[in-house]
Amino acid sequence: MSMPTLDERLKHLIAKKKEYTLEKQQVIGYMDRDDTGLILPPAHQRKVVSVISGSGVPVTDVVFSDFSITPNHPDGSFYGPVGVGRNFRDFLKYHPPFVDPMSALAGAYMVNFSAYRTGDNPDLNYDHLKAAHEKYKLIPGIFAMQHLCQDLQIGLDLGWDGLQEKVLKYRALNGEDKHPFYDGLSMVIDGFQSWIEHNAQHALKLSQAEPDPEIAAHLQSLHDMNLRIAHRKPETFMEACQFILWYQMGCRSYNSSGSLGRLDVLLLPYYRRDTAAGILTDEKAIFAIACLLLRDTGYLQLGGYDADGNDTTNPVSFLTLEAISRLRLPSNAGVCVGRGISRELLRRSVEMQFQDKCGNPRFVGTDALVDGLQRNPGVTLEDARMRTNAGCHWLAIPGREYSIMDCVKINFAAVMEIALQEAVERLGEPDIEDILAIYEKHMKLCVDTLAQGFTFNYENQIHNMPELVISLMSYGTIEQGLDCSGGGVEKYLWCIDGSALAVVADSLAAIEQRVLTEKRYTYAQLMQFLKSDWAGPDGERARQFMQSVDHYGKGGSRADLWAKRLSDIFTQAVTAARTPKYGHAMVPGLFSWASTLDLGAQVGATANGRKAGRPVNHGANPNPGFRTDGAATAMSQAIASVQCGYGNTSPMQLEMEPSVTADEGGIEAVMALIEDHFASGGTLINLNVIDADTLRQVHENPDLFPDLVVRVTGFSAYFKSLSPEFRQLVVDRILDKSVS
Amino acid sequence: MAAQNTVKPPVRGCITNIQRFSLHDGPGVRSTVFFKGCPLRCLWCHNPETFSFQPVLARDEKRCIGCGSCTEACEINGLRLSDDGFAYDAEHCRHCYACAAECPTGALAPLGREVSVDEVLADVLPDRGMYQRTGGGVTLSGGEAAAQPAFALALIRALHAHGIHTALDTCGHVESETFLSVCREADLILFDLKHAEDAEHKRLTGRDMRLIRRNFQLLSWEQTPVEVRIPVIPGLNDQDMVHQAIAGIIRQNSNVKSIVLLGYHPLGGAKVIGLNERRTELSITPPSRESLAAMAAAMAARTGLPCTFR
Repeated sequence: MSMPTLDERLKHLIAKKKEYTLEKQQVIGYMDRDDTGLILPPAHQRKVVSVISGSGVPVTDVVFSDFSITPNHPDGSFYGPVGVGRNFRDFLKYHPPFVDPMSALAGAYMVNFSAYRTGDNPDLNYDHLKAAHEKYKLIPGIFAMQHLCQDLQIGLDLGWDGLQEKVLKYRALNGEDKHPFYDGLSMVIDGFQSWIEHNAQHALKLSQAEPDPEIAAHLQSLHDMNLRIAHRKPETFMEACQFILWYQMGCRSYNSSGSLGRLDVLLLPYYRRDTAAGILTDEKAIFAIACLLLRDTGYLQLGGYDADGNDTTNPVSFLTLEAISRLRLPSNAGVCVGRGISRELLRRSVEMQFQDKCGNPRFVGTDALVDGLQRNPGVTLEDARMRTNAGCHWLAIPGREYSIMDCVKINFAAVMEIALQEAVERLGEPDIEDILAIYEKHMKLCVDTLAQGFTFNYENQIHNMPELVISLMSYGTIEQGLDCSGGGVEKYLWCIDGSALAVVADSLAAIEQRVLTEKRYTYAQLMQFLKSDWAGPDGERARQFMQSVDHYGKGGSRADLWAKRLSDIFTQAVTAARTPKYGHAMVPGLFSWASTLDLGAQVGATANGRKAGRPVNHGANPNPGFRTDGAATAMSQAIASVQCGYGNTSPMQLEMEPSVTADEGGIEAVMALIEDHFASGGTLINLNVIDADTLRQVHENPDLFPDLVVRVTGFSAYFKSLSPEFRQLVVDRILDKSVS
Repeated sequence: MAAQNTVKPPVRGCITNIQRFSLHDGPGVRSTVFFKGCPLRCLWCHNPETFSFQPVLARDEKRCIGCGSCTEACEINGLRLSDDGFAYDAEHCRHCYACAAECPTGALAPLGREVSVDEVLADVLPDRGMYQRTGGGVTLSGGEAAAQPAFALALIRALHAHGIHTALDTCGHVESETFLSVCREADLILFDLKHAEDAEHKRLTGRDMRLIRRNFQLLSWEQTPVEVRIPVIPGLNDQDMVHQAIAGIIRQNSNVKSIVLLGYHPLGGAKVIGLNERRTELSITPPSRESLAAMAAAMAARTGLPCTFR
């Protein structure tokens, strides 16, 4: 026996990953969220719990049954930098080691540290905001975590010892009031170093017990490498990958942060040095990147612009794509598309999409995003270029921006529900402009409430769950002794997303046509139908009439016009406002993440024929059935037309049949569609290539294709891991708008 | 002399649909405008509701909720909905479409609508960026677009004014002078050849080949490039002898640049059905990719032209 080939090793690792996934499905059950590299703890160390995820939704999770946190609050939990830092350190020190001899990299994480939290600090009160939250069904993002991006370059330049020295240096320079923050940082570093060393020792033990000399030598090298990078900065490509992996897994465990940033740019110097020195081949590089992505499905960007506007596409960009292609697992690479960015990167990405059918990669409309972000105060062209794809639908300037992207949502349908009721009560027979005027009033109130929430977050997160891990690799945090959540970084651009655009646009068009123009129904009748949830045969008939009005997305319809107005109202309300006391800007986008079910559950029947509690549309996408031909170009134009235009995204969720590229010219057609969408102002495309028949079969029986990966929204996951309700949502969207 | 009103009413045409992001109706990404009305009656046609040149009442069974509003709205009591199904008095229908207006789901709707050139442009112009990027454009199809020559010409000219490439997908069975007048203004002709022998062509399509053959030969004197499209219907026109004869026809036209074999695909499920068209239920097994590949290779060898298949 000897060390298998890289290809064989990767096959083994992929097979193991699938075993781990199956085990998670059996123990945790449905997971309507990102697939991650988490491996469950050994059976005797597991305890299943129900927690609130890093994105603010209740989920089932697993913790170590024999690890307990040390509370620092009478309620039995832990808060603030010292409480969090100490417990995270202890958690990492406790964390069992994991080494798979076939991997180029040591380590895996087994438990989300955040699952030990039982809630937010009860001493921090925002009751004054709750009435508005409830009234408008806002998702305010108070105490939302992560959703920003560190700059890994800081860690790669300093190493863990260097980071500790930096922390201690600035602790000595800053006032005592900052010491708890620094102490928390120090404890986090201590935890990381212990964790890495523990794994190094485990690799050594495995090496000593390994009968095969080649495998034993590899394990020894894992030991040596990890002992080094537990303290010193990485020097080689492998060490850089290993360093990034530890940080990333720790970050993910800490509070679900999954932002890798510009992996191709970070690894390039190591790649160049090591290939020139003859110690790295492209195959080894692909293997190392694949091993990294196996253990964390982090969000990364490939290509893009540097601060000077040069294209950052480089050989590592393509090697990373190749690694993702070989894995055929959930992953979250965003490939930049732009006038000054390599078209070969786009071509390879489109080919991969149709060849692998795993929803990888995604496409980032860089030019529109760069142009848009500069419209925000204090953002330069260089800043905008440096913003990096780092999450489901979002970007961040690595190490320099805080925004809690994707954590704050306004449900347009909930706001319109209130506005329509008020308009009819006050005016009797309002026209659409009357309704929109009242809607706009309420939208501003929503924004004002959320702005107060941002200020509350800014002042209080440090006392709750500070971003200690990300603050370690941010600019200004260690220097000033301020957490990135509360003043430590340069830019605060709070993200507010709008949802249910298509529901409301179609509703306005339906009211306009059926009530105001045709006079088929009176407002009194309509409101009764909505209140009764379209009860009875008359109600169902009315529902069908309202539903059959031309939709947003058809092109040139009244609903298209209203969609643009709704986006404009929202954009103006958000961008005109500032957060109280600190005057931070807020940036709008259109996105519903995976919350279309939850958002819909909060809203009654709507005038577009939607029944009470039914899901709302995905993000900026039109409702299913928007055109008989379901044309991708029509959807592309519609979504481009409603972009908010301030540098946050409103993604297009696009599904395509594999046959689209079966004939010559197909790849070019899809490339053209992507480029045209971005040239028209589009900002992000999430793409699924899937055969409708396969999807129907797997929906009936997920076990038929247990390895089927779909891009749910911004994240990708195993179809089988999703709950039946979630699968239905994905299926409905794909089957109704699949381009063939 | 009294002043005359010289403003002509805009030309209108009857179409069934406009399909954007079409990948198989000519080069690049295209929008396809489906004209209503066709001189042929191909046995395998998936859209027999497009045969007539006027709008027809059509019904989508999947969308019908059985509310009966249509039957109440019909002034001649020409519709009946019962457990036995849906009955429609095509003979006495006045085509007022009062029934369709009362259908809440759009299950009952006129198939075919009169449009102006501007209305078509409104739907196809938004994709001009895509046409430019991919060498695409707009294809006039159907039905038979050349059978509405005034509208086809007006549309082609309007598209050209916007710098958009045009293709005409034609069965070739239109009076020759009219036919050529339209072909001369298009940028590309997609010419369907379904057989080579008159009697059999008539059996399969309702018309013999004389006019089609004549028009195909006349095109060889024109400037417009031609792509020949051959639908492959197993058991009906896929015999080697038939393809050999079609190749003979193709060789007579030096404007033909390429050939495409279109393998028959059955429809996936229920669709909109024109209520006054008789549907022919065919039981045809689609040709395999291997057989299409062999046919394409043989056609290429016989004609000296590139031949692909779908």
